[in-house]
Amino acid sequence: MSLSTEKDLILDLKNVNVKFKVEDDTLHILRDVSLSIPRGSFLCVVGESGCGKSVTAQAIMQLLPDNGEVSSGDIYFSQGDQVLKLNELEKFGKQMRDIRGGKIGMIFQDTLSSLNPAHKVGRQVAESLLQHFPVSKDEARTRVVELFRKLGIPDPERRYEAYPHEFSGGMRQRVMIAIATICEPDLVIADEPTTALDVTIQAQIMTLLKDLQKSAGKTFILITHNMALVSEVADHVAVMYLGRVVEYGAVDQVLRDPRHPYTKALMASVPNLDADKNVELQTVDGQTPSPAEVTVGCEFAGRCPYVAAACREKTIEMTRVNPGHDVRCIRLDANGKLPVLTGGA
Amino acid sequence: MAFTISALIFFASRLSPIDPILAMIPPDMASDSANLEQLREELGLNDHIILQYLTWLKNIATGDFGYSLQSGQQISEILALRMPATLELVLTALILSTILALTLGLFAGAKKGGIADKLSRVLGVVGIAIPDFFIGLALLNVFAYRVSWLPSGNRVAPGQITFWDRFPNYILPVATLTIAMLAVLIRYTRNSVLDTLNRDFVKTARSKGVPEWRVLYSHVFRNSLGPVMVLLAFRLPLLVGGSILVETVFQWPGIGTTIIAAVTASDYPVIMVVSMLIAMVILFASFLVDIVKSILDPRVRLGGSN
Repeated sequence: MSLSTEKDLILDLKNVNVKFKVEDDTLHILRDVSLSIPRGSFLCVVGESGCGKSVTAQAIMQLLPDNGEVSSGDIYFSQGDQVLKLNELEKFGKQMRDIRGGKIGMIFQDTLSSLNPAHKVGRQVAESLLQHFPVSKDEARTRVVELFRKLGIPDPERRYEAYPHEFSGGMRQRVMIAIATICEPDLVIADEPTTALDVTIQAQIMTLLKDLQKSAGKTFILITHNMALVSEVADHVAVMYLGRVVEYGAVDQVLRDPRHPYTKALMASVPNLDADKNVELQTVDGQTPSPAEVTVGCEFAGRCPYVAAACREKTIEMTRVNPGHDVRCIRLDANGKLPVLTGGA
Repeated sequence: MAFTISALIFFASRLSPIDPILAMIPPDMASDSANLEQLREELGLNDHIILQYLTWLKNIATGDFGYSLQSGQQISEILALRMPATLELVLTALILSTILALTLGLFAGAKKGGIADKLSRVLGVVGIAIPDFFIGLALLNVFAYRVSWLPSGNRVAPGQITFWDRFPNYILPVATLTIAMLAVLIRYTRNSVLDTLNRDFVKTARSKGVPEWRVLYSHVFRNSLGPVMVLLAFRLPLLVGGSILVETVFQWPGIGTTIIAAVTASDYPVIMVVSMLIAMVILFASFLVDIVKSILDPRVRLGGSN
């Protein structure tokens, strides 16, 4: 549909809303999330815990928990010359299952709980391959071992037979990556893949992902709250706050020239080795409001140093400040700049 | 462990105020105290209690279970006679209830609120809330008394008539025991399946595009079996103990009715041997739990590969 008019987008989210039923309440977790993801790009979705990053991934995969659903909006996925509306496919139907694992791979955060403790890791990777390709078990095994080797798992033949608990966290994450990529999907979604790992292993895993993206021309969506990672790997960044994308653009635009007050605050809170050790690290003031609270206007208004009365009056729309750089803030002037704060914030 | 239990059983039986000799012989002969004394001596009842215990233990270990005070029969003979009846009943019910409970429980957990879930809820409430002898009586009332479709239990010993002729006698007792065993097991399985469905690796399996039935069968089911197996293993003692209530209701000549008879007659040797057997099976069952768990979950395997 709309995809053909723009450049080659692999995934296009249009005003996606996700609601969760919790007891008698309905929580509005994603609000009008729109994301256009060009083929071959590396998008980072950042934001604090509970902002809807993971829910976005689950909505794309149609793997939302039973009490959650996409209440409105569309998710377009281009597959060959076809464009599919993922949210209209049957959740566990054949078409959606062919996409899951086959066309979109997913990497999860907690590797110990995300792998089946009772199955050998090799079998868990092969399962994906056997599901999507008409290969024999022996052939699947050969290809899994090959991929293990490529991903830097030592002694892959022997490790094929091992159980998840016999692996280290980093090795388990390599297994997860193998599961997500064994079928050569066009798109890989990684949901905080390095959060549970120590820093050196984090770097290894990120390099691995970046290499995969470059060498295989795959599209990556990386969900993270680690801003340092973003600058290393991403070419596009989406900043989310309380279920909304508040700023979206190329990595240089967003990280070097953040326009949304929340992004600004987020960037200011990233520790920097060159920084003056006597200056206290900035934090984003206040707390994330609960999604149960119904708010009118900007979700960030309560914590925003630039807040004005107009911010709380109606839903704020995205404004384009530069080509490809969108910000959801009405306090920007004609040049797309925030006003200078007087009296210190 | 086995020794501790054997000692407990032995000394507990000796704590009883009832004189085994008096229980053994007819009251009119009890007046002859010289005879009684002689009998005591012969039976070793005047030996030191520790010595008595050791003798008993030695006898048990060599397969000499002693004699029933009540009938004078060898206890091993009684067991050989009664055990098949109990085994038939309990084993069939155990297998049936396990198969039914696991299947229903899996479907109930997989589709919360579906037909299987509702059915399992009804069965669960019925089975847990109503005692098994009452289920038995109700079934008897309907099927054996009102419509007279089925005989009211009364096992017929094998060998005399063909299996199919004996078959109707099994239906009611087996059904009763099955329903009674089913209830808890279904709830266990269902809840365990629900727990497992919420685990992260199920999401991983789904993210591979695996069909739901495969997710259930290959990922959920096996990981749900652990707690269920524990419950199951601790039902194994029923195999030697029999179900006292169900056997009584259906006049089933198994170990359960033997226990009842022995208790009412203060037949200590029989009670002690049966208790000992049950204790041994419980020990064996907990051992079995460990083995089954290690098969189901590689994390508990001992001396695993490095």
